[in-house]
Amino acid sequence: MAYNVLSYFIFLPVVMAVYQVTRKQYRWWVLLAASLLFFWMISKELIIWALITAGITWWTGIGMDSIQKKIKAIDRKDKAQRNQLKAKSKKILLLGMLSVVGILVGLKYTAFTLETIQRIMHHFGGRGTFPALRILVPVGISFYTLQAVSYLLDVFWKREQAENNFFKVLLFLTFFPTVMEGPILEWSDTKETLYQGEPIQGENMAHGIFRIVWGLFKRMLISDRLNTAVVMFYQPKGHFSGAMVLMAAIVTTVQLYLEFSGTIDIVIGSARIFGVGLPENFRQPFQAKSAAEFWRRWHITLGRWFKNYIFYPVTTSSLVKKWGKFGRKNCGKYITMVVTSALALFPVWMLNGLWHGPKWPYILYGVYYFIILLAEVMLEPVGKKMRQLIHVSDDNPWIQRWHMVRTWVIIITGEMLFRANSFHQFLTLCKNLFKGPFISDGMVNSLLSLKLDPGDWFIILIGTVIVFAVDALLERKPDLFEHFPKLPTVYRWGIYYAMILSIVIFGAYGAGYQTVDLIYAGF
Amino acid sequence: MEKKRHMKRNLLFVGILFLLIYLPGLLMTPQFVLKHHLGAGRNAIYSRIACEPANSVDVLVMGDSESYTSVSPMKLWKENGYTVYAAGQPGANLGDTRNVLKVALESQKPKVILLETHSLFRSRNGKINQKQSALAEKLYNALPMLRYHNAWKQFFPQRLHASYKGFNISGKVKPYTGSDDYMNQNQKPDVIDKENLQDLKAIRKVCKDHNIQLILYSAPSPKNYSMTRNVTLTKLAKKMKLPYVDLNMKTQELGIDWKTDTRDKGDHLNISGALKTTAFFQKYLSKNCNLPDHRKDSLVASKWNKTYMEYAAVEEKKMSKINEKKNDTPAETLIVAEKDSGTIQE
Repeated sequence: MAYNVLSYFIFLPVVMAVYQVTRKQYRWWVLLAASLLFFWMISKELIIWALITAGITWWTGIGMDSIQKKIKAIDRKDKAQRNQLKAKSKKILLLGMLSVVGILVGLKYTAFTLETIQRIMHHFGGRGTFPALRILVPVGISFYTLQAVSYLLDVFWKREQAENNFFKVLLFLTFFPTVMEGPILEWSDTKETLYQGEPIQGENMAHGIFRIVWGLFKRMLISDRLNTAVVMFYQPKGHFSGAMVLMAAIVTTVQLYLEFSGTIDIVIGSARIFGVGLPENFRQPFQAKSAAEFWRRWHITLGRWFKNYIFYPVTTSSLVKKWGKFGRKNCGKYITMVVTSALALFPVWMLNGLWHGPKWPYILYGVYYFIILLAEVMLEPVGKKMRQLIHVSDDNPWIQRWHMVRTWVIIITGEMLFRANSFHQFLTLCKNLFKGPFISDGMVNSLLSLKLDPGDWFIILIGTVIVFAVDALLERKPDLFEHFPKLPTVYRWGIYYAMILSIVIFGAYGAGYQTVDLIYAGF
Repeated sequence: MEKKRHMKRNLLFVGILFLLIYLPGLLMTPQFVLKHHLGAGRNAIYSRIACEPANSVDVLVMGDSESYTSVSPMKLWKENGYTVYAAGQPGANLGDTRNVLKVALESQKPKVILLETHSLFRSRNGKINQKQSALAEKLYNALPMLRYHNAWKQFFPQRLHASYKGFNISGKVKPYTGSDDYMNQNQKPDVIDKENLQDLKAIRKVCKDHNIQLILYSAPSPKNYSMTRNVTLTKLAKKMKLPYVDLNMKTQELGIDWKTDTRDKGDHLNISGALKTTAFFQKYLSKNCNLPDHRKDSLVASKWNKTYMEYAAVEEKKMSKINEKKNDTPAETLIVAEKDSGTIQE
């Protein structure tokens, strides 16, 4: 089961029907039952890990909440007792967080850690070997673990009250539209709507279905079709050079963007049908003028998580504060700012790389963005001075375009590193970019050798142009999709039919195409 | 009242959508699809087999691309007068083959099925996927527009390839340079998915019900076969009481020369290799199967002879090209490119 397969489009209407005929106060139980069934169908008995995580999260939240209530009841002057209780609350938090993160690390990173230790040992002449481990990991563990951590910290920081009902916490962590690819929720995102039991009706239904169809359009016309080409570009024996390497980088980026954002459209649409509004995960990322802005537009909820739960706590930590004081006194404003940024960005990007999975290219992907973002911080004053020298303002359209193109180069290089099977393969591809003539005579044949025929390439091109044109419109009118249910029926139905028929006719499905797994569900 | 109105509107929307998808499908009869080349790639076999005159085919060669590149029906017609159709499908697993067989049996009454075994080793990704494919197949049958939705590709330049009763004739040579003892040296996973086994059992049952002789065979292919696979298949055939022929164990007897007889480094045979395996089946079928010789049946013969004439000309051209290169070039560097006919790729 995934969001892009036929069975999901049987599962979803069945859940909708049961939900609709159930009484309002019990509807969230229908969503919980559907979520557990969905989880079970993908991960079978591994669902136990999600249940354990939910149990720990719920128990830790309740524990911290009861202590906070006790603290409130104590006289403010009784500092000793208050501090004692605060320390106890912190201990409970640490225990809870270590447990949920421990499950993630234990299941996902043990094999990689042992393999790395073994490699280091061998490098220094050691001989020992660890037994090869193959640990099965439940679907969405990286997503729901981050949600559990955010819930615990929010309760600890008193941003949210702990939920007394275990099953509500379980639903928050395993809600079926979000469990495979996010968006990564914070408790405040859905606490009002997820348990409300809103009936399936007019505007939510129209908007939800529109987002699902739009997501399928992105996936089935473009990203699923491109999958075969991407697989062939990164084959171990791949021998592409010149413009074909550039093509590989662009195709990889387009495929990843449309696969992930298309799935998120289906996810947001599915949740919206039940009246649950989810946060957006993408906001026209290719309109970004810098790598930092790109990460505010791409996988937004992951960026938000790192910002709220890593970046801010690190920047406000005593170590960084101490450095700030010392730096401003002894090293000057610029150096202080750069080092402070480095101290805060380093853990964010190491964890970002690791979060994607126990693979070196992912870790190096984190390192790559750490270097790029730090370079942006370091070079910003230089750029400003240069623009002043040539008397060009920051919002000059040509400067903006240049920044956008520069960001595209950063993005597609990063995605190539992200998709490569190894760092060595990434380096080989980079070298091959400058090998031989940039555009060779056989380029058309090379493109056709990727198991895509001229018709496929035509649809990919047209589809991508349409998606990017809609992105440009969304940039100007962010609430464009919200207007859709309000359109006159003739236009609305016309758009629906046009989109559905283009998926039916031009979609990459059936004979000759394979169902493509959700890329981010693997993280 | 409002609810009812909404319900009516939703039903109208779905009704119109259904008609938009259903109506074009009425046009898409097998004859229409074949005439306008609408069945691309893996879909082609459905319209091709449905367009063969009813009850005209005695032998079906089934499986994935190993099947339609290893047996030449036209050669069997010429030498034995057997009416054979290569009904393989690129990248097919046993579930796909079962679907093709179902369509074939709607218009044909074959006496023998030669089932190439490579598709048994294809992964099926579990029961859910199998059920989805079965559901999709039902949808495709009900709404032909879904099956032939790629018909628009005909407006783009295509690599059209002639098919002679389903046989893919290739004159391309890309030698296999590995060991001749590949069966003992290859390490190939020999696990057969449960789903493929179930489908094989279902195919066997269909064959029994229709009084069809089912024969398993493995086409010569260093890329796909090994001794472990041979042992697994021999055991399976014995258990299922089916005859099994592994041509990988007979490459010397057949005279297979891996420098000239493969189009893609030992994955598939080209015409030169296929003629050798077909020669084997000429003898095998006449010895083990009681098949009629249709060459004296004027109605059948006129049509099959006409196709044979076209085939013979192409075969001769491709063989002479291969032989020419074979004589001119040191064997290690022998590569014959093929421009005039594309190949169906898996």
